[in-house]
Amino acid sequence: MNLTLTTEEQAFREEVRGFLRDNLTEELRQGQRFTSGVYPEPETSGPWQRKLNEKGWLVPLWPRELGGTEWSAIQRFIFESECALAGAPLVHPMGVRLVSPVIIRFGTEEQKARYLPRILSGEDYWCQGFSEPGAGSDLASLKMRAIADGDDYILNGSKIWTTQAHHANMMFALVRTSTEGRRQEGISFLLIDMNTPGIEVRRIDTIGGDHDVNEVFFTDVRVPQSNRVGPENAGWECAKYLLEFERGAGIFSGRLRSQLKRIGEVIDQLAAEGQDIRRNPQLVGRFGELCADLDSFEMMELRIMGGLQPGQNPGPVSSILKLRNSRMKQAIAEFGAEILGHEGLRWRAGEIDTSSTMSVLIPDYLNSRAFTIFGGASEVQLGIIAKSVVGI
Amino acid sequence: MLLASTDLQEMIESSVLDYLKHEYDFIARANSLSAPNGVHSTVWQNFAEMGWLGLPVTEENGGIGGGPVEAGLLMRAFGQHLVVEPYVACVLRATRLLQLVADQAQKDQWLPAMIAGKKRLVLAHEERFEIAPWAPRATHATRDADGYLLNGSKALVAGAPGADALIVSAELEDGGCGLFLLAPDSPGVELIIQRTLDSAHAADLTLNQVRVMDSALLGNPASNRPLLNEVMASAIIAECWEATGAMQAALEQTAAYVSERQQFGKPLSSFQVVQHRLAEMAVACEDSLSACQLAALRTQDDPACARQMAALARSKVGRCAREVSQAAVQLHGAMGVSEELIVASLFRKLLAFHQQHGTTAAFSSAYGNHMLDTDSWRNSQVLPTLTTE
Repeated sequence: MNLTLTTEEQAFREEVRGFLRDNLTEELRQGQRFTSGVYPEPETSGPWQRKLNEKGWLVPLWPRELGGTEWSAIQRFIFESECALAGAPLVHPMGVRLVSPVIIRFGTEEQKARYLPRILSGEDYWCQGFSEPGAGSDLASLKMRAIADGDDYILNGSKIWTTQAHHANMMFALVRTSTEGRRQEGISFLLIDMNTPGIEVRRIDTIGGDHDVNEVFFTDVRVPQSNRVGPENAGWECAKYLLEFERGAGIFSGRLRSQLKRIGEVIDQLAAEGQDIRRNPQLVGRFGELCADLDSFEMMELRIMGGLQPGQNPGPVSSILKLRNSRMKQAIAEFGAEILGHEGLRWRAGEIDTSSTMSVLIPDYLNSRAFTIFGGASEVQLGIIAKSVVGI
Repeated sequence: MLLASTDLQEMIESSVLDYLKHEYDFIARANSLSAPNGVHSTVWQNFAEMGWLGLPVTEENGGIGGGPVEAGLLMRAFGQHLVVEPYVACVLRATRLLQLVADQAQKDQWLPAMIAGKKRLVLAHEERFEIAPWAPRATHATRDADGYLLNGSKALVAGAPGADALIVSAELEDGGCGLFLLAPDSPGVELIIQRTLDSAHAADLTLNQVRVMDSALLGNPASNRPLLNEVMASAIIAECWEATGAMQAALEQTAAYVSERQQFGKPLSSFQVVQHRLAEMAVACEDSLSACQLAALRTQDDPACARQMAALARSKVGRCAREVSQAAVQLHGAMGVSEELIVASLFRKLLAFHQQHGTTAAFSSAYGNHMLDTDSWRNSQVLPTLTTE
């Protein structure tokens, strides 16, 4: 084992840096710095996505012939780390990272031809219709009905916690097409045009004051059956495959460090105002723990993700990564709130003061609570770890 | 970047696991514990034959040239099997230090015999109530016409009983870092045999006007200190690997126990609260391994960062070891606090790990201070040559 970059890896890193120097504008970095929700707004992520697409770096994991890069796992790690540490916006993952692998694996040629180019260009902005008011961690209990009618399905029900549904023109959703047999066997995977009559998006205000998530209501919504991915009642397979990507394909350590760097600006600001955390032994100790945790997590992620062959998923160990990433996110956010002290009392519900990153630390802490809940709550991950890793 | 094991690493890991599995079971371990000075001569000889006593020694000096990763893999297996022989004290501290600072004559005198398992040296460095291994020593050496006079005391020197020589650290009057080779039966040396939490053999050492000749001085006092600190720090990283192995064993023992033990008419493992605690143990084991790997890999690239990496590893592994050891005992119920099962020994081993070299909190603070002072926390720690913005 060694951490020394080969000449090729070094050259690749230089190429990534060169690209970031030329394309990552101050405006885009600002957009990311002042994002307190889970994903940046489309006006920040959209332009960055287009630049990556022009360069051919938007979808590294796709097959080569569709636009993938065939990078080694270590190249991907370098790319993700460099982008995050330079402050590049997070690309909205719903299309490029989540639904596209499902379309590539299970979709028809027509679906691939229609949706993949629109995902690349950003023309379609996707949201995920999985959770329902009665189906959270127990996703298979979802009830939203899709009843066949001619060439269409007619949808009735609702989806909830739908991130950025208010920006999306497309939704991929799990719907119930059968109530027979095992619950998992009556679910289908549909691609839904959000402009179809009968769809209503209602904003949900979140604990951090942001508009991030929504409830989406479906009343007699007609969706062509040709928009189903995979066979009828086989949607659970698609969902499991997608969740593998949601949990297992991301590289987060660079993003976490970038979150910590944002706090660093405040550390510097506090020092300039005579409140240097270096003089507070408790905070120094806590900072040391945070750094030790983050550095170890980075190593864990490199070892697990960097060791993958192309197309390979990390498997159940991705639950450990998910758990650690979400807790790390919260721990960093908590530290940010902690050092703000009294100054953290200021509340601007959803409005961010872009004169200082101080203003995002409290919303970031509040919103970070969601990280151990979405994508499979920590309790679900612990169950998976006990069964698959410990072997209980 | 290479994330897979090298041939040497694979060879070391498979041979040590194989050896310990077959030759170091519960009974063999008990034999080592009751052997004179806690070193079973056959076991130590086997270590020599496997090349492990020369693991950190360069090939030109007759060793196998292993670095921090190789040492770590060996120590993880030692931790899993609770090896009682004083490997860290003798090999990763004394042998490494001797190789780094000794002159050729001293090396010729000692190294081949140490690698062959014929002679055993230990580093006598720790003192009572010290706050860190790099803090100045109270033991001091006074120069006079005939050499040096040593005065002071060392506490719980692992492996000292039965050692052929001691390497004693002492402050010189000019601020230099004295390292002296000393026969344990030298006049003025008093060894009081002690046992430590992990069942190992150790000794309290008193040095009263101990006369040493110039020839007993190792290295150059003006330049010894960073080398000594690097050896100490690398040994701490190795101890973190050992703790990680013990944690893994504690997890496996606990998983097996809760799968067998029935209460309320079903195995304990069928209770979600038990499953989650086991899962937390597994996460902590994975965390610890990652901290150990990072520390070893960074130190392999740059020995000068050993101290910072020791702080990182002790901060992380220290916290995880507490969690895992406490959960292991808790999930064993009353059996966890009995001496009958190995879990009690694992718990004490991990407690011994904590008691050494200063508190976990102190290592966290040291790491925090280092990060804040150098600003290096803004950069990736696995791609350390990267600088950003």
